[in-house]
Amino acid sequence: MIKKKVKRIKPITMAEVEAFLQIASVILKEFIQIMKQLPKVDKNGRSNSPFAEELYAKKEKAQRKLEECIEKLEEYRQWVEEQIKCCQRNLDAISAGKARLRTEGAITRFSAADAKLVAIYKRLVKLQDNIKALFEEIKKALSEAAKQQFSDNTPQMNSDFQLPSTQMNHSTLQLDPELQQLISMGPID
Amino acid sequence: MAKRTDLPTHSDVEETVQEHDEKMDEKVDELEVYTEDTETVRDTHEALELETTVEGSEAVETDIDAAEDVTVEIFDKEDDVLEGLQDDTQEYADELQERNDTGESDLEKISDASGRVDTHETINELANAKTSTLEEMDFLHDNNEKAEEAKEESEQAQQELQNRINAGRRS
Repeated sequence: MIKKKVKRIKPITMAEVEAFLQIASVILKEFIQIMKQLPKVDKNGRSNSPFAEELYAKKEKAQRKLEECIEKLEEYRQWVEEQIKCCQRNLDAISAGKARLRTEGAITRFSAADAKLVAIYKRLVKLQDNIKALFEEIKKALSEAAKQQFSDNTPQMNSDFQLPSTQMNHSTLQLDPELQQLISMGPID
Repeated sequence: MAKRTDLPTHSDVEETVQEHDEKMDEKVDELEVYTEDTETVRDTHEALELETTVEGSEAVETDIDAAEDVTVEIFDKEDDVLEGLQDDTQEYADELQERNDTGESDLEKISDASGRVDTHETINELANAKTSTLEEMDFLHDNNEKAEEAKEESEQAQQELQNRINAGRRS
């Protein structure tokens, strides 16, 4: 299926990334659960189980969802990285300005701005860590999945699964509508 | 001319002119600090990359704007104080000019009187009075000029600082 590439209209926000991480975690858990239910296959990818085909089809569907998550995560990873750099530059500018100021009231305001930027920075770094951790978990799950292939009509996956290139155009991704709707609902309480 | 006892001494006059000058200079130095701080805040604001959509960036911008408001507000307040000092200086310069004008009229009176007296002694006294009036007028003129110059310099410095503040003033 050729995905229609559309320009992102709404800018990315931290809340959006946080919401997505929660959703992606749920998708990963579901995938791992499905993987556990898969019947064993022989070296030719065949199984005696009458439900094998159905269960492996379910696995493939869940896997595609997870692969979409990886693409989205890469987009968010790049965005967070850019924001962290931007935040660092802003912190440097405020710190340099504050050092030159002599008016007490202005210094107080700069300190307040600095504190707010530090809070943003910490939130971004936490997001970066969470994205990285989830990336690793998904990568591991997908590698495991690659070892369990059903030989029937189910599509094959490259066993050396690679994360998407960092050169990917991150403003043109199009997610599964179901996934997109979940993200737009915001963080899970 | 006023009675001798009502008049400030030369050193009083010099001290007052000097004091006005110093007060205006101090205030200009103070305004220079608020101007530099305002420019620092503006430069920082310009350097910040706050067009991003990261939540909280607006609050950072609000703090920086508030920092500029603080420095500009203090500048405006102290600028008014400086104007008051300049007015005081002008008032004192006018007072010196007034006394100088009185000296002029005293000179005329002395000249008139000189034409009416014949005694050698009186003529000499009037000549002495004329000399001391001329000296007093010179002194008043010099100090009036000093006060006027100090005020003009202060106004010039003030104008430059106001231009710098107003160049980036947010409406």
